[in-house]
Amino acid sequence: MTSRRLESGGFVDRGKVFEFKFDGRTLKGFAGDTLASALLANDVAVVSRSFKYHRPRGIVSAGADEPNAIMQIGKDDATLPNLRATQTELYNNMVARSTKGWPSVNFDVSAINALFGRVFSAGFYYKTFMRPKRLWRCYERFIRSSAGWGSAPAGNDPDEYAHRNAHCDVLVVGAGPSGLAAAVAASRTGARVILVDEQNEFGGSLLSEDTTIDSVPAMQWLEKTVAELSNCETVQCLTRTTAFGYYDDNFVAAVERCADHLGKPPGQTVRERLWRICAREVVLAQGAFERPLAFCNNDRPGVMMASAVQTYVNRYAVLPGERAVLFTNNDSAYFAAVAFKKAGGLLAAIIDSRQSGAGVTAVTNAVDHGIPIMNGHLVTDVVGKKRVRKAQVAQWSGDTSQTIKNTVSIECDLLMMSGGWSPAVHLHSQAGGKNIWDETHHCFVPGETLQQNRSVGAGAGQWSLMECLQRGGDAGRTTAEACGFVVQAGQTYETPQDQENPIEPLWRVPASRSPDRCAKQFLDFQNDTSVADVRLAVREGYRSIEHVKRYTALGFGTDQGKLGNINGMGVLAEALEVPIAQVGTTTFRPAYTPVTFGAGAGEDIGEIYDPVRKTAMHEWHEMQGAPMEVVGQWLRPWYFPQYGEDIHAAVARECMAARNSLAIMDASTLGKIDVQGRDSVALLERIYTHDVGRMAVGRCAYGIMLGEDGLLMDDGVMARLGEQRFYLTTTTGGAAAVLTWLERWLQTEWPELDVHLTSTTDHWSTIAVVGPKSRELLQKVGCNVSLQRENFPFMTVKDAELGGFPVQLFRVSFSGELAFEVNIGSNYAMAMWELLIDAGQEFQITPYGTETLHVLRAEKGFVIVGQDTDGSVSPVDLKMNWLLSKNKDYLGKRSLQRADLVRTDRKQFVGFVPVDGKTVVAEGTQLVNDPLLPVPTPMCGHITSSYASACLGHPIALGLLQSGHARIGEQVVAAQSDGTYVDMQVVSPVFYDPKSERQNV
Amino acid sequence: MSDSLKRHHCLEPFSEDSATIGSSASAEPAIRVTFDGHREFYNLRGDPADAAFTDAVKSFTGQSIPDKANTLSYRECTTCWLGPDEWLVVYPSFEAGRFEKFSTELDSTDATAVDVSHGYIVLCLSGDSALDLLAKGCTLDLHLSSFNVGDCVQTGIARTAAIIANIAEGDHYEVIVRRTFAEYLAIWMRHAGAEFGIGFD
Amino acid sequence: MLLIKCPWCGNRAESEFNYGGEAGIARPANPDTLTDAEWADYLFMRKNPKGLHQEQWNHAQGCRRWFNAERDTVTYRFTRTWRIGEAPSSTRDVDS
Repeated sequence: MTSRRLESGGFVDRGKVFEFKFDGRTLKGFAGDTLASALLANDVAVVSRSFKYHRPRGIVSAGADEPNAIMQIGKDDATLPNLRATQTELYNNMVARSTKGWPSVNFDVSAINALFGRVFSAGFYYKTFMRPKRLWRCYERFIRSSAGWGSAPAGNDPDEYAHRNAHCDVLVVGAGPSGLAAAVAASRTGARVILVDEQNEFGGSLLSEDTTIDSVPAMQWLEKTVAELSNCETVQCLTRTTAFGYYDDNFVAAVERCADHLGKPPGQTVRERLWRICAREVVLAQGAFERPLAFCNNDRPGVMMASAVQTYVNRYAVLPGERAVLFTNNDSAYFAAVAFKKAGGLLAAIIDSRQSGAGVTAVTNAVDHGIPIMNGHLVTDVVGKKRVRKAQVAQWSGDTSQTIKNTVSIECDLLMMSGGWSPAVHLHSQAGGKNIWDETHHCFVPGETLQQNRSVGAGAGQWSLMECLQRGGDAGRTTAEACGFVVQAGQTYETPQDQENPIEPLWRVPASRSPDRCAKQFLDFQNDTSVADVRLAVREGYRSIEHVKRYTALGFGTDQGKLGNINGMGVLAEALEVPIAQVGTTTFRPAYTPVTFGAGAGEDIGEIYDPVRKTAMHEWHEMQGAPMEVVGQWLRPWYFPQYGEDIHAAVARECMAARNSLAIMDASTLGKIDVQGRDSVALLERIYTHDVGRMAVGRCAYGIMLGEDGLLMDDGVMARLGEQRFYLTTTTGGAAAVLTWLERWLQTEWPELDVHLTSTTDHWSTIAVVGPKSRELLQKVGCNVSLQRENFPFMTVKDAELGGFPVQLFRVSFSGELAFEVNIGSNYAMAMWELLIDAGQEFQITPYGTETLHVLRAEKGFVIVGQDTDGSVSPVDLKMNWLLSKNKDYLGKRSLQRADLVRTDRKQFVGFVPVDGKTVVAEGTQLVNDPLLPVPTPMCGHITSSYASACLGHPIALGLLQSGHARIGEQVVAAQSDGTYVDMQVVSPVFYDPKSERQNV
Repeated sequence: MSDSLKRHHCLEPFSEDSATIGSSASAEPAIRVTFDGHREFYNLRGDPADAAFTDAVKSFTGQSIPDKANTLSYRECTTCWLGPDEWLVVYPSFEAGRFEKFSTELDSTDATAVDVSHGYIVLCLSGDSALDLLAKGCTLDLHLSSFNVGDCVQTGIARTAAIIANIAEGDHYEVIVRRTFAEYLAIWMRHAGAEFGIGFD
Repeated sequence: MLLIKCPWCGNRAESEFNYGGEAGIARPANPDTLTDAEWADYLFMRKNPKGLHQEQWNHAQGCRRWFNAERDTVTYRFTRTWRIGEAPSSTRDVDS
């Protein structure tokens, strides 16, 4: 294999040799290479196979528009699929693999598809694999595997990613000449500037071109400018950073590849950082993409963009061929041809489609270097499969409808092409800006903007270096001024002036046969979309560019049509016989280039995916080996297994302890709200359904709140701590929502009420001491208030001192047993818990978790909001009529009279017992009246809670049943998911101690 | 009463296994975090136009309540603006009976106070990269041009809400966070700070 | 990132806020006297305009205040925000 590396020149470090692997072969490159330049230096012509026809493909471009050199980089779990070799910096020991072509890019078994190219036309997959429908899964598997798009790693990504928020006055995207001029001008006013560029160094086109600024070589100007920016404290320079998304309010997302060029990130370095940039003003200086020309077999390896050849020669010191032909319709490519020639390549001819050819500057330059120019000629076809061997050249009159008869062959192994330039309007478009058609330069340029952004340089259709620098500087000053900075007079730049001839558009190249019958003229290389495909779509009735895109897959690949879309629009315009401006562009969406999942996720993975809230006693629970249940963001102990116990045995033991002796539970996750103010009663009367004002100070009450739709929203115990002070509890999951709900009514509807609401959920920890011995336990640890029934009756609250700690003591019960809830400052809670556990040993105090909590309350028929209710349940359905005051209005009251809520056949809350006395049906099981009715069998309800009850000796269940309140004593059938049926007796939901005597003792 | 009682702040378990991460053992990490779990916090509500209320607070704390949004006042205690009628009063250490006295002071007014001392913890951040760390999780512009000594903001850090108080010159910031979100935030800081070098005391 | 101007705290990221639906829906003074249809109108019926829409928002991660906002449902732009109980300013912060 020959080396195509030049002896001198370029920005590669010849002293630093990197070895790398491409498809198993070991190759060498230099520091400063991209994978693409290193492959070209090694004369690797074929780098992939095309998507549909599996044609061999080579490197076409040198940037983000590359459609072919799509690689799988890295190995094992750090591998990344679908990276563009043109934008992948080489590092030592890189492992790269072509993502397409099986078994290899040089011998691809599916290449046989190419023989049937006429069959595989636009819409082929839609037309062929639609029927029979059931076979699509089969087809899909084959199509996907033969298409091939790289592979995702099997394990977790081993690298770190980060997010970073940033703010600036002026964000400049792109550090070519116009972006640099803008950044310098803005920074000199004192504005905070962020300058991002996707390349590893600033300079953009200056890195590839041989020109002067202010009479010194452009590289000197570049060095000086970059130094000034780097030394400026208010400027943040970010290389290897792609601004990929422009969102609302001048918010731009950019990804910085901090360590992708190093292979493995060293130490704590993050691999990629997602920058979330809030900019007051944005200058877009993204440059332009060169367009290919659509001649026959224009996808053959060795056909490259002219500017890419210039970049490989000047920047990477690689000569991508020995003998080249340039095919162009504009002046810019002449300089690429000259660069190739100057570096030692042979330039057989410049084929210029324009009758009058190029302007004086370009022509003189070419002639001075001895390059023959053929005006009014076309390259109609190329010969060579895995490498271009010949270009077929013909004279042309300028009439596109003509077919070309006589061609001559010119030998070459490199065909440079240039169809003109398309400004990169992506971010401008994402920001909501319109694009307008420039009739002179035949390209879409940014039009009106919706946000605070402006485009400059080639990205705005400003083509001369002078214009780029001047307009860039102007934009820097204007944007800084818009941010309130004082601006000095503008700087002027001096650059060589070129005399140009205008471009003449050539969307497709006439061939020896009609465009529908000639060899493939590719528009989108990645998706194998050809001129004929777009024309076929039009014949089949497609008109909108968006529909044609979807039918032909034009612009659908990882390059998102950066290279080929514009030619496709030109071909479509011709076929529709409308001006191209009327065809318009497809929608530009983020991301401009693909972004890794890692960058998107940032640090929000693993243990910090979401906050985990733990109670003050959490460590104790963990030490006991309690499995945890996730409740909202909280972790709660599920049960406390003793040696060898499973969940059933543990829960049975915990339940019996609560019923017979003493049990203890951490109830700290309950939501808690402090309510104070002159109008506390007035507010709570409107929120809760019961008569809040009738509660005496020191009393507790169970309360429910309804939405205005009359359906149950949340419940909890509330306590009246003073004339104007209440303490509310909410469900664990409802805490934040209830506080927001109360604040909303208070602030927006009843601002005249003087009430203050404060969340005390974190301040207070709550310990439930449950069971017949609970009173004895509290007495034993020392309580300064009497705990006897006559002094401290059920449903009352007292401030107390317990074991020396200040506490709020509630005599409430969610188990039906004698019980107390201890509210204690969270920093004391662990000490209090341990004190109670120690003192409780003589009563065999038993800690219990959420499972036992649920069983105990279910035995009493207490609902859990969100488990037994689902947002469609009214208090009447729950038989909570006793809670509904007739003396006042409250939220949702009027809705209880709505026709739908007074229906008697609503699903109502009842209890169930399995007739066999032993089956615990699954929660969620549907209930039917008659399982033998034909499918779909009408369902009449469902089970919401279901447990084995140790103290009752049989399973119990709660659920919602149509007309359930009237069906107590009847039987229904639970249809289990395994197809079996269980007969269920409908009973009262209160299974245990129906007169509620035990909690009152 | 409870001065001698055993208190446990919520980051004690975290402190036990924290170390310096991301910089060599000898070098001072670019971010240092200390936990202060035993301050006193009072949630204060009242009408700032009510002189009886503002005078009562001033006579007790020795300083005016900040009436400008997102600012704080500090001397013996720090008073952070939380909303147009809401403040968080933070005393540096616990003193038995102080809250009761404060509460009594407000009795003759329409204002109210709630002791929420056990509900918050302070993570004190310092070091050259302290702001870089906050910028990773906070969408606000904490640049000198918009965030100075005497400023405080309630905002989101990563996936939790917090108050960031700027109470001293140089790279010192206090992050006040709810007790049950503190461990999450500390773990987040340990991860997010690793690239700069972060140490916990 | 959408920025929303809290009338108390100034511009903040959208992620600090909760949406509360249409603004200006007054709760009827005497629900008992309303017909089912009238009550349903209050309960369920909301405008769904293309263009400017007045909404309630809550600065959930900040000052916890509810406030009014006018937003363009086509461009997503917030044109102005104002405190509950106050009138919106006659000029908009930005054009819709």
